[in-house]
Amino acid sequence: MNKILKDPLLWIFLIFSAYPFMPYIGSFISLGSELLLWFVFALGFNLCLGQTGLPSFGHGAFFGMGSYAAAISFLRLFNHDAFVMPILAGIVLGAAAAALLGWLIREKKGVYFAMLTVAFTQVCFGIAFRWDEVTGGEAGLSGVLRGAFFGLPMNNPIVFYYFCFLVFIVCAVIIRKISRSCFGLSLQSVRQNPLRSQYLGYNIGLYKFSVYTISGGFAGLAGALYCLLTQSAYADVLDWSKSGDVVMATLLGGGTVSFYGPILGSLIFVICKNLISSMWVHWALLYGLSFVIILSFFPTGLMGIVKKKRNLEPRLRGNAPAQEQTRREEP
Amino acid sequence: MNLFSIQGLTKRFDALVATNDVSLEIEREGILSIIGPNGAGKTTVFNLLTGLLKPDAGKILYKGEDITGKKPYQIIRHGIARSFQVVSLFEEMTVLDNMRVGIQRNLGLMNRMFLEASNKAATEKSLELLELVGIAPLADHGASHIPHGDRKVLDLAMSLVSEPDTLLLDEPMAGLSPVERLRITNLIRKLSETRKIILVEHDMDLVFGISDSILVLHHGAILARGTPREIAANESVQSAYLGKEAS
Repeated sequence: MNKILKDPLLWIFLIFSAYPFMPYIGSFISLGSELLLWFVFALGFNLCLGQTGLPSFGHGAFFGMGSYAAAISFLRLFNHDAFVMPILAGIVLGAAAAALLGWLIREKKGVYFAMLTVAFTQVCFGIAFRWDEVTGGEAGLSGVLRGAFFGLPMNNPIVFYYFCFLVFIVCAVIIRKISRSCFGLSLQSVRQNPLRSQYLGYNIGLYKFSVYTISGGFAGLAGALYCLLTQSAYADVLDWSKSGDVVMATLLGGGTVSFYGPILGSLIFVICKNLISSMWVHWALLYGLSFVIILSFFPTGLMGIVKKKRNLEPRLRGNAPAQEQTRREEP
Repeated sequence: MNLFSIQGLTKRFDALVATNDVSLEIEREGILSIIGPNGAGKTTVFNLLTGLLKPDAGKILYKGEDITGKKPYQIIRHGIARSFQVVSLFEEMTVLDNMRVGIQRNLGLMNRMFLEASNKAATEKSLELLELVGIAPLADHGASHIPHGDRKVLDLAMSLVSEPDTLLLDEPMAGLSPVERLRITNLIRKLSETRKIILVEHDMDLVFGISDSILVLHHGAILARGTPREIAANESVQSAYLGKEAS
């Protein structure tokens, strides 16, 4: 019981279950939904960055593809009447694109890996931006409606919020389960010492490929939810800067040392993007500056500071005595 | 059948021939040491045998099977394991987790997404092995926080997880204190009872003390091979170490 009460995820769940009823911010209900889908996006992304050490700038593409897949399948395949299928389409396309890219670059390392993912994202952006017949080109696709789901009116923002909340709970539990599993330990071995990992019998290319695919699926899911939230899909979500956003949010929060880092980072990012931007157009300057400052003094991000304070244990897994374990891995 | 049967093994790095037409039969038992002046190509041979490098020419047979050009993770499945010159651990994990990585692969659990990494089977097996090499009390410590000698032992223990019948040790004594050397020497002796050990080492006391046979490399080629007594008496070996090239 005590153990459950100490679980940060429980508290995150509790806070967000009450979100629509909170004073002031509760009225920004779509902000709440966006936060939740960003959590899914960032947690899934961190399986690559934090867990396996893959510096991927391709997740914006998978997010965008999820978004387009949901919109296109809603408009073309399911005749404007579906709710779950577009989301599934988003997951499948996100995962498939990630699988394709992941297979091609599974043996690449560091900067080469990162650059190839950037290139991939830009190609996807170019296609989405130009291919008028399918993606709606510059204008994008609009008119995606949220129908009923088990009789629940999803067009009600609060109902949709709770749907996102449910998705978030399921994903957070699954992702945490994965990161603490045997498979998760295998991924960590690939990040910490790929050479040794190979000599223990791990085919590290295969692990990079698998985790990339899984992570792409979560990005696609988040993208599909984003499409349903905004009821549209447009090329901007596919831009490489979107990929940069999730990398920044994850690093800022401290995804390399903590499972909860990506949640904290994207919380800050999405709130800055939505709330501060309405007060000051140059909000990105502030955000970027604080990113640079925090990361130069605390390379492991905000959760790194917390961990250092509490002098906690090796990343992501909690079963050993206190010691300082907040080294920075190259992102 | 011999354990290793190596034919015409050659590896070039641009103009440098690191391994030059090495042909060699290695028998199944005992401790074989590979020695030679710096740059003789000892580590290159190790890297070739364990798949880290691909040979430019030649063939490597292990127990009659061709393993030339196979990748490290495939080679380990043939029963070959190695340690590294510089201790190679998962620095951010605990000692126990370091063991678990190898153990769970051996138990076939490494792809289980919904089984806790700290499951009972892997934990028990890991502790058992740590017990065997004598560092079980350190299990819960971070791998980067234990003494160097223990790190070396952990590194060795990790190599043993796959239950190899051949163990290649790259400078197991490097950077150890005399007491720790003794500890590792005894460990190597113990391990050699049940498996083949091939080691690269600069510590001549160790090499001449425990080897059953010694291979001397010079400029990437085999200079001599024999028992410690024969090698000690070999004139060309002496000149390679003391002659004008080395001075």
